[in-house]
Amino acid sequence: MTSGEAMRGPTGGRTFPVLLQAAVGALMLAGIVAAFAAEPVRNAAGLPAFTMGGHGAKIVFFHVPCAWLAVLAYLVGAIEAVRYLSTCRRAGRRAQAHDERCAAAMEVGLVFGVLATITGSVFSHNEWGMYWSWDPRQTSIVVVLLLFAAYLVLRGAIEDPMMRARISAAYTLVAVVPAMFMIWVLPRLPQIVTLHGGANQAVVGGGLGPGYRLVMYGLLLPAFVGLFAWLIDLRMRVATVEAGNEDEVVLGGMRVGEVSR
Amino acid sequence: MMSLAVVPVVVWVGLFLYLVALDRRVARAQSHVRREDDL
Amino acid sequence: MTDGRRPSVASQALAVFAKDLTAEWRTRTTITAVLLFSVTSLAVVGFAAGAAAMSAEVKAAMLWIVLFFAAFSGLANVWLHEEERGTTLLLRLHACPEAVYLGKLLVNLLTLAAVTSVVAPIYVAMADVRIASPGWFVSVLGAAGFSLAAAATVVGAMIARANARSALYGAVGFPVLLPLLMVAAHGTALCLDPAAPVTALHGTVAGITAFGVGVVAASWLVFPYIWEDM
Repeated sequence: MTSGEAMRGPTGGRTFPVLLQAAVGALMLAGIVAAFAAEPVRNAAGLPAFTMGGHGAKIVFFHVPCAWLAVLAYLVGAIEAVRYLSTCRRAGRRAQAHDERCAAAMEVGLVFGVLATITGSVFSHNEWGMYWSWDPRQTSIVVVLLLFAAYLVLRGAIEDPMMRARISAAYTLVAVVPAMFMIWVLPRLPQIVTLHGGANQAVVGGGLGPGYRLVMYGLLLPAFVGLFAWLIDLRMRVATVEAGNEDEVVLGGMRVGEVSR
Repeated sequence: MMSLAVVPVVVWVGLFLYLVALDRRVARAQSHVRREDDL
Repeated sequence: MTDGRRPSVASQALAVFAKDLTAEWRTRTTITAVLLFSVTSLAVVGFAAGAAAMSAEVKAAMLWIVLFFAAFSGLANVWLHEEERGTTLLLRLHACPEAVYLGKLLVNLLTLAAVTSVVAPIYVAMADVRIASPGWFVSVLGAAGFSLAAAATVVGAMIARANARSALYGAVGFPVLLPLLMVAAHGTALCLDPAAPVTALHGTVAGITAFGVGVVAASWLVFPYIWEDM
């Protein structure tokens, strides 16, 4: 079994299906246009309920999927970490794929975490006048973001691949405690009054506009999830290519020195 | 308001085309590695 | 172990704990370094703030920032000293991973308890705080100290064989501890507030303890993988 076969990505090493690529592109495009075309929110008196003529809240359409995807990325990373640790003592190559997928998820999670923080800050500035309001929800996404970054720093500091994989997986699982604490426990603590809680009500209660559910859940969220899967797949395949090139030096007795990076 | 939508649309189209191009490049590199493995 | 019966995990852990305690007692390097570091940081914060009036929340945060940095200045030594002295392999052979983790955790708990018992009174005097609920204050210190030591122990084990260990320890450890920092500071601020409801205090201590228990549980499960050799 060649190394290329052993480390297929989720779609078997072939490209992320072109059909899905097109779907992601189209859905996101439709979502962006729909978000901007949507009716601005009006309050009981018929006046715009948010700044910029009611359009200021629309960044939420992008903020919520980014935040959800950062959490999803961590969950994927944690699951892959468990799968790695449960297979690392027996199946070398298969376990390695789980480790690579965990790393890919953490990298993509970092990207979405940064995006969620930025979009959240823009909303916070528009609506509440400050970029950073020390709201527990706002700080919780930053903690998760820092966990992603710490994972990547830790990974970069260990040279031996197997030890790196084991310790990265261990860190992901230990850090599940603070991650889940920040995502689910802290924002719900009763004594912590949050601005974000108010915003949550506005979104959940349909306050953003009549068609928002369709735009956010029907267009943008699937687009973002598809984008997430595509990015993970790309990252995995890049890792496969790099591993394949490394193997030429290690395994290919006939091909030593033919490394093409 | 729709005029504001131009910026995100352009950004997304650019990003999307970049991802597609990257995808093609990676696929080419993968088949190159696989072909060499099979030699 | 020649009689065919392995000692229990608990007795192995106590043996590891006793060994480390004895070794530490001979030189007392870690405890003196950590103590000196924490008292100095307390002074640094105090001098930087000067006589400026600070709210209870800020004062509460101060204590925990000092304790966190103190912990992360020295609690990795339980692992680093093994690496430096070349005794890691010996430890691996003589004790099961769970016992090693437990033993080292106990050492760090004791170290942090000792440091806290020195730092807390100095802090109370220096920051001129009136503790409205002393019992709860001690509970917060105990629970958060337990959680802090737990996190510092497991992260220390992870970075023990990495490059750039000293900077890495803090960089990797602090994100894990940020939620604890928030809740511990909040809890301490509640202890300074005479009007704080008992339910809030209780909930905070419960949350802190739950965090620590979660970290210990996760560490217990993954430690064999961190510890095992190539």
